[in-house]
Parts: sequence; structure tokens; C-alpha cells
Amino acid sequence: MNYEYSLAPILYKVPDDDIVAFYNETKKIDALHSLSIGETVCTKRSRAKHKLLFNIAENMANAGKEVYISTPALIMDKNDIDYTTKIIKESEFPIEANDLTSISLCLEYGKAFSVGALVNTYNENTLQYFFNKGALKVSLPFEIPVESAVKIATSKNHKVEFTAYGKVPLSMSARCYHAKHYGKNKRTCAFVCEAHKTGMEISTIENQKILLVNGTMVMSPKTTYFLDKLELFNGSNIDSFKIIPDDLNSTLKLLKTLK
Amino acid sequence: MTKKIEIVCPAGTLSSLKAAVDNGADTVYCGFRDTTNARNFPGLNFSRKELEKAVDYAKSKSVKVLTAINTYPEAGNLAPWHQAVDDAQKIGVDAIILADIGLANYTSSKYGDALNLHLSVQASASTAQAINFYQKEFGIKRVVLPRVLSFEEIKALNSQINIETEIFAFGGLCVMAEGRCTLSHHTTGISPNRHGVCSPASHIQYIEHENGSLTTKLGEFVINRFEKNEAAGYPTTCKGRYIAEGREFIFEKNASLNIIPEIKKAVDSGVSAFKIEGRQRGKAYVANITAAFRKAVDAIYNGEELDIKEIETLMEGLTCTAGAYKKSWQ
Repeated sequence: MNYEYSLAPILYKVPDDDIVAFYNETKKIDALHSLSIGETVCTKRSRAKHKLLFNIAENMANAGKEVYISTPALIMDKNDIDYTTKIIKESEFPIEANDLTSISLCLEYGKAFSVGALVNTYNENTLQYFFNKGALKVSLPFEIPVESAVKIATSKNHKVEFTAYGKVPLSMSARCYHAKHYGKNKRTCAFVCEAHKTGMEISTIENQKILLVNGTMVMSPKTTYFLDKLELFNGSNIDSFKIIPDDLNSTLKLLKTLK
Repeated sequence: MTKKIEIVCPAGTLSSLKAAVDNGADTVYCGFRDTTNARNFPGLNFSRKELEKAVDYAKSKSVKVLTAINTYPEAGNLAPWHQAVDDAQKIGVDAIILADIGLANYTSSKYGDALNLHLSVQASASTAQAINFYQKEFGIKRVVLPRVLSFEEIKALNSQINIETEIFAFGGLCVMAEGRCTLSHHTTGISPNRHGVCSPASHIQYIEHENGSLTTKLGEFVINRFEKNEAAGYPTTCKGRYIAEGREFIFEKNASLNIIPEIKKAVDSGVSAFKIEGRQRGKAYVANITAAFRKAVDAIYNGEELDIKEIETLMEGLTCTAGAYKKSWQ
């Protein structure tokens, strides 16, 4: 089987230089077909960084990769809406829309879009609706089991993506619990999330690793791993698999093993 | 002030529905006894026959009935959700509350204006762009707002949309954005979005220790430990007592909402309806909270002084917060 691999955005607050270095290496990986890039967790991290975002996108496109600009997962206030509207309006690349606000904006401005995994595409009717609206691709929600995924993807003509590797997002909140743990809030946060480049580990009182907190997003500390089980999808209409980066060096090593 | 605010009350059973109707509800919401609604707990909800009775009773007192069909239909098994919509329409409910785009598309294509649609909080539509999209595509008449907005933001939002908004006014709160949370699936394998239940009782263990303390577990995870005389809360993943960076980590100490102390601001924000959470609650609870809100809303519209203390005594000492609607809370 020939599989297509795509790379999800970096979900953590990582220094710009590390991001640039990571993508400079990533573009050399032939097995990687497409990537979505952009800040999806907290728009405060990304304001005034449009230039960096579009530079990386162009760089990757020049290296022959299919590029999507990924939008915020939870859009609440004016700052979020302004940021999202601006990147959608200015992007020369298709948008990976992570909520209905972004899908609505893409339709309004006539921008090509894919539907991200944080949009609730739980069944074949919802999937069909998005393709009728012109979606280029739909990434299935992270909690969808394989047996449901193959039922949702009813047509060979649709590009449907399943997450095959990574620590997946579990929830999002209005309040930033990363900041709250340091006695701060979203306005005063001083980017405390920067201290945890792969999220802040949350353990139970009996020391079981239960969650990761990454800004306003809560994630699983456990790595989803389907890369050695892709034959489960043989005969189905799913042949595109997403990889969520965590530690950037380990992610690069993993990407280099893809065939 | 424009149209009087509608009080929307929960009913998990026919007797709770009657309690809500008899204590001043304008509207009651309920669901069918299956995975099509987001409060799919054992012993709760309505059969088709019970819903018919509920609608008859409510209509005889000029109270509206809404039916929540607000989980996400299962891949390859859409029939139960389509059947639920068809039956609710036939029984004559005033609106259905839904979240899934495929189901909204099915319902609006089949019934058009003959069936009112409300967008469930489970759809997490928090912006004018998202809400206008649902209105344009599916003719949604009202949106239940996710609890991620402050009153100021709700007021601004109401000026950018032309459908009604409903907000949660009282009851248990989700800590995370509703309908976009898979914490329960992470810890138990059961998903609120797909199975209609968060932190199911079947996955909970209460372990009593010799010194009288109590450990609560959800799936394989220890959620909390309570001292002998401490009140033990129901263990959900978002309400645990954890450790991060060597210190105690708690998402929220208090996740119960009561907007009564801020009710004037809530009215000024331009919402059309106050929703009371709690289809899993008993009829006495529903009766008390409904009566308290009836009194509060009537007092505001009659220009009477609002006795918050008196109203809160009707709520039987439940500790609550209105903080979630203040911007500073974020």
C-alpha cells in the first residue's frame, strides 16, 4: 500500500528559531506529503507572527509540499476573531479550519479549506456535507475508532485523514489552566506555557500520568500509535495519515523513518 | 426591556416536567431514553408515549417543550437519530435541540420551517460567524451559547446576529468547551459526544479507607481523595485533585453556576432565555430552582426590588459562582 502522510501543526509554545529549524529539516523528508502549520491553541502566542507563518508556508510549498494554514481551535473574543480573519484573508494557501467560525470565514472569502480534526465530523452525513461545501480534505476527530472511521469515509473520491501518531488534544477551555497554575490568567500569563515544550504533566495523587496541560488545551500524555497498524485501513477509503509533532527532535527522527 | 426572558427548565422524568410546569417554567426540555441525547443516564428520559403525555400536559398550561437530540450520530448507524427527529416532530414538540451538522442538514431538508431548530451548547458556537453559518445553512432559530463568553461579549454578539440566544443560568457547569471535550472518553472509553454520557457511574469506584477517608476513581485513574468529614464530589476528569510541578493542580474548585447575583447584567446582555441545567436532578430540585428563577425574573420585569438572599434560600444552600460570565475570570 502507498500511504500519504501529513504533519499537524506544532501545538506547544516553542521558540521561533526552533520552529524554523524544524521545518527546514522537515521539508527534506520525501515521505511527507502535506503539512498544516499555524497556531491552533492560543492566539496570544501568534499575534504579529503572520510573516513568519507565511514564510515557512512558502518555503515548504517550494519544497513540493502541500501546505495548509491551520486556524485556532477555540475562537472566543475579538482578538481571536481578528487574528483568524486576517490569516484567512491573507493566506495564499488553503486553510485547515479547526472550528465552524473558520469554515464560515473560508466560505465568505472564497478560500479553499480542509476540515481539521477538532471539528466534530462524527458520521458520513456530516462528512458529505463538508465535501458538498467544497472541503479539500477532512481529518477525523481523535476519538473516532478505526471501525467508525472506515464507515465515515464512504467514497474513494474524498480525502479523509486519520491520526496515526501523536499526543492528541482532549479538550479546550475559556480559562487558561496553565496560567492559573502559576497564579496568573490569560491576560497576565507572561507565557508560562513556554517552560513546558511538550506540555505540563498532570498526575493523579497516586502518581498516574493522566493529562497534559498546554495553554488552554488539555491533551493526552499517551502517544496514539497506529504507524505499525496501517493495514487496518486496507480496502477502506482512508489512505492519508496525520502525525502530531511533540518533542521536535524526536518527531524529526520519526518522520525520517516514514516510507 | 423587550420580550420577557424565557425560563427553560430541565426534565429527566414526567414528574420533573410537571414540577417545572407547575412552578413557573416557560419552557421545559427533555430527551428520549437512548444515546440520542446528552444526558443518557439509567432511569432517566422519556419514551415516545411519555413524551406525548409531557407535551399534552405542558400545552394545557401554555408551556413549551423542547427535545434534545444533541449527541453526534454514530457512523454507519444514523437511523436512531433520524427516527428521534421524526418522532419528536410527530409528537408536536415546539423545537428540537441539536448539535450535529449532518443531523441539522437532515432535519432542515426534511421539515424546513415546520420544525424549529435550536443549536445545542454541544455545538459550541461561540462567534457571530459560526452562529450565522448555522442560521443560513439550517435555519436555526436559537443558539444555546457555550459558557466561554462574558456578559459584555454576549451583548456584543447579540448585536451581530439575528436569532435568539439562550444562556446557562444555573446548575452544573462543564469546565471545558462543551461538545468538544473527550476527557471522559480518555479516562473511561465512553464519550459524551457519541454515547451521551460523561463519567458514567459504571466506571466509578468509591474506595473507603480504614481512617474514614475516601478515594474516588474513574476508570483506572484516581480522581480525588476526601478526608473523613469532607463532602465527596462525583468524580469527573475535569474535577479531579491532581499534581503538577510538585504542587496541587485543580481545574476549578467550584463548577456550579448561579447567575442570580448578576441577573440584571444577564438581562441587559439581550439574551432571550435562561437555561437551568439538571435533567439528572430530582423533581424537588427542579421545582425549587424553577420557582426561584420565576420569582427573580418576575421581580425584574415588575420593577420590584430583587431580594437575592430570599431567592437564594429557595436554592437550599448550593454553593455557586457567577464568575464564569465575568471577563476577569479567564
